[in-house]
Amino acid sequence: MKFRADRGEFADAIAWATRTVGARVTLPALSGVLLEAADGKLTCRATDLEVAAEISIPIKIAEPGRVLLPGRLLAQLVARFPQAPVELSGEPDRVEITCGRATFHVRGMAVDDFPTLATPSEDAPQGVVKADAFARLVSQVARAASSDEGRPVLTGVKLEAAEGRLTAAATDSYRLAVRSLAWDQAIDGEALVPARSLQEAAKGAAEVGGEVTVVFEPGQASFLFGERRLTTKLIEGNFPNYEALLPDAFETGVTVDRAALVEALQRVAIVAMGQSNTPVSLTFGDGSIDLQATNQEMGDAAEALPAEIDGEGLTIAFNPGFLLAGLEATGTEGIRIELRDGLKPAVLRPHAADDVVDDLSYLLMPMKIS
Amino acid sequence: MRLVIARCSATYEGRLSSTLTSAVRLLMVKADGCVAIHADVGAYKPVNWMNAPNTLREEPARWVVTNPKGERLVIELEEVLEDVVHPLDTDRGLTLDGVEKELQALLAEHPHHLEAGLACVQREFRTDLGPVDLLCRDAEGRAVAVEVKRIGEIDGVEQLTRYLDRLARDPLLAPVRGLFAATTVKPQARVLAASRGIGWVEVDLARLRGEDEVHPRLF
Repeated sequence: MKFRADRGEFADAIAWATRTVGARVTLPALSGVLLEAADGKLTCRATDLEVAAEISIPIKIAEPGRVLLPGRLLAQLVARFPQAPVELSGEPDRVEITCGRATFHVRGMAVDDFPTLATPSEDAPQGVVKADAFARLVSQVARAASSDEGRPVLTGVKLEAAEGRLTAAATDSYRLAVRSLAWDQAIDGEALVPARSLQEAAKGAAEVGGEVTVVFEPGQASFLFGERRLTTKLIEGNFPNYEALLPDAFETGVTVDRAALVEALQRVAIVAMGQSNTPVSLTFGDGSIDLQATNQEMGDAAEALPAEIDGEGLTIAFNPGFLLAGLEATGTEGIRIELRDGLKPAVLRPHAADDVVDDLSYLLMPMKIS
Repeated sequence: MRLVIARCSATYEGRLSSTLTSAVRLLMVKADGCVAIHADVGAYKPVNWMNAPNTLREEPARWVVTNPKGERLVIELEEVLEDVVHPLDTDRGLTLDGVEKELQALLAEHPHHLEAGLACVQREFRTDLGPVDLLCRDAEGRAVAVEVKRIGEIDGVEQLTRYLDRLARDPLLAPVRGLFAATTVKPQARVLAASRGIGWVEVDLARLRGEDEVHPRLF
């Protein structure tokens, strides 16, 4: 094998493939990146058997071939390469990499040990959505997924495609985020995608721009954007019936400037987030929100800010970290908070005076305060 | 152990009052008299339950569970789909393991009980020698591997030492600090942990369980 590649493109491709798959490998061959030079392009593949990443870049090929090189080592090398074309040559067990005046010899692994990557079948229906909209949807929703591997179903994001829309939902049982957007080219189907895989797909899509093609198949989902593809295994199990959790009415509606609430909450939360996870209480009434936190070991904090409040005044307490995540997810200038009482879940929604906003609902269970 | 799968609704009156609307659920009547109503979510936690001692009175299409504390759970059975009884063995080993799992789950949710500012990244984080109970990041963002035991003895410290050795080879994580957590840490385990630069912490299970009551869940 012998080829020459642009340093920037080569470094990006290796970095993306190794980062997407991550470092948790169980077989030596899985720590490798498979490089295949053929038909004027270099295809880099990596997998941990859960997620498979594939990316192609144009190269000049002198001799086609395939090698399996240690991913981490390769990524570290190319990240520090000077600004000069990269040349790879040699046999699978001994590969010479040169860039500028630097030369490396890297021992490759047996190409045949690398597993065949899961790929979407060609006749599977393909949904298409704008990359920036997809990335935004994922960043808003996936933050509510759990990191607790003890309940695998909650570590996923439920994607449902129906009636021309793509709906994403995630919950860690304390909060729930749901949002949908319109497909450019619609499909029907559903998938429970590991949140980490989906976040990598979204990050990649945001970098590349353009469109993302989505393919749902039994047991796996694929995301294709530019010359990149990410195929991930799905999580098995029943996702909670989240629609039943979304309240259809509220008693008190609050509209407030988001940045002002975020800043006040961050200040008050410094006291709350100390030794123990102390709730921050919010009292709504008389055109203002009073935030308060008391920590027996550190002290207390209070701050008030103006807000439009319709309905009965009430006091409710939240885990400040979860509330902040919800406020950040909306992304709008204003925020709408819908409440029933101090013990029932609150709903956070984006709000803009005269603009269309996302249909994001961020449902948050309150904490009990004595 | 009696297991009944039925479409049912329930009302509970006691420390507070609650109502469950009609749905298909699992009713569990344990040999010690505990009665629990389970939904298809929520891990080990029933949607409603009464701890023993209880009196269970079965009427046509209705169970009435009462206890000496004056609590009362009424289950209206609309349709019984399954009703089976099997005697179970008492397995002490499993009970102990259960406490360890519960500790791990509670510490994953409330890692500040281990150390201020600690955040859990993942439970059961894979290493090639087996999973370490919790992988966390401390307030400065450094990786912390936590091994959780019910009783902390020196073999637990040895186990954590092996995991730390593997984790330290991962440049994305290194350096990785170790933290040994248990309800009681034996003196020998403390000495061994300290000699290897591993922190240890005794956690109060009752306080941890209290956290769950402070932060109710959506389901």
